[in-house]
Amino acid sequence: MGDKQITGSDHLKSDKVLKALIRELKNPLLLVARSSELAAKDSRAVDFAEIEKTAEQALQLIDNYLLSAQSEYGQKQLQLEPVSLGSIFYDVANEINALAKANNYELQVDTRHTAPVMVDPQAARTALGSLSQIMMIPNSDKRAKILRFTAFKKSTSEVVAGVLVPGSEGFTEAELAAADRLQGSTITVLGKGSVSSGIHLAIAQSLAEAMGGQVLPVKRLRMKGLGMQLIKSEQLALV
Amino acid sequence: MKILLIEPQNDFARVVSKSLELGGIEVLHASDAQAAVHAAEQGIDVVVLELALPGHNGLEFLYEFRSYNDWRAIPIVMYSHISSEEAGFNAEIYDRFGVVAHLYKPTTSLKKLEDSVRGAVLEPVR
Repeated sequence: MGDKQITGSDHLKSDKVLKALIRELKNPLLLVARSSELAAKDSRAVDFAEIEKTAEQALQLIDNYLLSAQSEYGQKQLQLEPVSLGSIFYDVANEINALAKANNYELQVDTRHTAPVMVDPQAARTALGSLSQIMMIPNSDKRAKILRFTAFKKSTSEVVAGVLVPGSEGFTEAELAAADRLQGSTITVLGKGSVSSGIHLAIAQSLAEAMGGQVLPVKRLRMKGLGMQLIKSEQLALV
Repeated sequence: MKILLIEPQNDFARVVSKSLELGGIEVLHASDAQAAVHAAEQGIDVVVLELALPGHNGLEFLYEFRSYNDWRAIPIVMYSHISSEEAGFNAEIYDRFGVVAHLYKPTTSLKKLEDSVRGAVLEPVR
């Protein structure tokens, strides 16, 4: 499959997303730079494992961006296959565990309704990981906040994989649309909490669309968050 | 000297806090505006503020912070990813909210931040 023909609006969108990526990368680079300055003053004051983790997260973000950009412009064809959402939830929870601890979150995986879906496993993990990062608003509360992965049926052929937190920190359709417009501008503030450049949303939206789905706001049982609408796998559903 | 560091990135706040503490400055950290208001009740000499806060922007926080009589004279040092040019702030806004310095994070060393915090205590805030 050849590269997709890129239009003027594609260029505008990719420019916005690239700016959002650059803004997001300022955080880890700043942490590494200032930690190095602190180490020169007193090396015992620096948590070198944290610096390593930060650098790895920055590299992961670059890879996530490349995956979404390549799939969006036809340079990489996603391979959709039937996969259990439960296994994807656990994989993502493992990948973001360190970040969750740093932001004071306890991860929960609800496997009750994890229907098999047609996804590219790497793209699905990346998209859900990106949504998780939007939902994890750093907090200094005494008790860790809960971040729950859960799935539910949207229609006979569609399933939503959601990333939810308790309370009012959800999003509306209008806020999602606004966040999309603001990508790459000074700062994107989503809903009542998340401070981000919008890069995580852009990556999740791009990958969800490449798998025939979309990102949408989700509400379930007094929890709110973001979800990814995906196509159910009829093949596994029959097993 | 005791300062309130309002910084949403917990890991970055730890680095800044340790650096200032090595210089003998006591640091209270809050990752959002609500926690900041509670922390300020402990008594502080200077506020170091990131403009991009969860749920609020820095200006909204400043409006609330300055509405308390007890805190009107506490100097503010902005220490942010958002430069003064990007934020569109001018001398009138800084004067109105008692902002004695606006430091752009990517180009501000920890040493410069510490110097600014020490200098802020000496700045009269009307």
